[in-house]
Amino acid sequence: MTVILVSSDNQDFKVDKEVAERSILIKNMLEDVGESDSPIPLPNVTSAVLTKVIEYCEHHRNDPVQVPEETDDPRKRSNDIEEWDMKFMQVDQEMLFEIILAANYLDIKPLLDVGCKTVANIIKGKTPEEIRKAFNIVNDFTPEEEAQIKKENEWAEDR
Amino acid sequence: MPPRSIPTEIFTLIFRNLSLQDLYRCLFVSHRWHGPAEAQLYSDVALDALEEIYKPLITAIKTRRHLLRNRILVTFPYLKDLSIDGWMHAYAAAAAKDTVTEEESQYRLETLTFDPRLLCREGPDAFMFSKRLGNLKRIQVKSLLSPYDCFQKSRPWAFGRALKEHCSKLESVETSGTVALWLYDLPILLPSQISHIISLTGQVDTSVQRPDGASAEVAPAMMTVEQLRQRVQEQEYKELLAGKEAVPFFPQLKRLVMGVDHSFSLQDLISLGVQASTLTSLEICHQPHHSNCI
Repeated sequence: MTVILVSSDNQDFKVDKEVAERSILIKNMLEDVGESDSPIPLPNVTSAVLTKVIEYCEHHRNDPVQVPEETDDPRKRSNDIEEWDMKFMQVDQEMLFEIILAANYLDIKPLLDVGCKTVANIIKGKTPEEIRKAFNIVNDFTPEEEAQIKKENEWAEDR
Repeated sequence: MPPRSIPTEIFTLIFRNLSLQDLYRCLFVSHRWHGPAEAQLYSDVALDALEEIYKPLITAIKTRRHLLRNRILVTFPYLKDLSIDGWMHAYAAAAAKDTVTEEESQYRLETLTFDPRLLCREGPDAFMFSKRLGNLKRIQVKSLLSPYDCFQKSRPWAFGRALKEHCSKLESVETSGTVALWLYDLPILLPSQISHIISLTGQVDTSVQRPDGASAEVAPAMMTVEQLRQRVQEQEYKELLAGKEAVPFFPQLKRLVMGVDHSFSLQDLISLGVQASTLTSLEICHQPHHSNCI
């Protein structure tokens, strides 16, 4: 069985139900609607992004449903991005954030997770200035504010 | 896409993957990054408090004098639980002057576990930090002090009054060890509420002043210790029944635990507002420090 997803720029994507249901949002929609072949509009996702998201869902169509790992220390598993996922995430920064936002909207936890880990890996080990450069951010702190932050959080500085 | 258009919940998911050091650096990136990075940094501290973070934190407290009682709370504004073991007197004495004003926001601290020696600090500003403990719901007092030291060194009244004034949300008081003399003085009793103490003191005084007194007027002074104790209990029981006029000490108090060596009396219960309908849990150790305690 297939479903039709419609991107914000009105492109139709015909995908297997099983693939589309990697998105909890779509899964719930389909359950609510019942048997129906009417297309599902996704006004928050462009066709470029939806193409990527579907590519991810196709690859992971047979993955077991992720169990929440509340007790796990996320820092200990921050680098464990699968090789395929790592390659999949080798996109420009704008696309990376678009994928994250789409995964959040479509409720695809593993994709959201991989996206956030990828961003975290960009941040890791960088100085504030290097982070700003990497994400094209303007420093909007005054020197006084910086000194204040330094003072308040001194305990974390060398850790 | 510049990350400034990223919603806070996504920031949180990203920052979850970062070490404390990375989070620390993120604090400086921009105003937009500061908030979520700070929240993550301090939620980690609270969550992992008992494990890896706790030890370095305690080390930090031991090695850096500015990270003291009030500084801990300034430094960790998201802290909900704080447990401090042992004696911090030496550090407390050297603490910088607290300049908390009433307008300043309240700490989020809900649970405070401490040794009464923490309160050894002298000076009028000693308990200024309690002004910002308006969200405190639970205090746990653990003490290894002798009753005498506890009384002498922990300045019970000042802290008790500070708590009464500022911590109206307090729901639970738990004690173990000889902290009772500290807590014992928490209630500020009205003179009319301590009539049994006044009357019995009078009787004891009489017996001391007239050890040879054989006249009928001083008969009460001849009571045995056992009788005296019974008298105290009767009197206290009466006052407990009549305790409606007592001012509830913590209006929200729901739970009271008195561990080993407590020296609570019924009177203290009255003053703590035990007659109030809010109290739903009461645990009293069967080995009070003083035999005339409940």
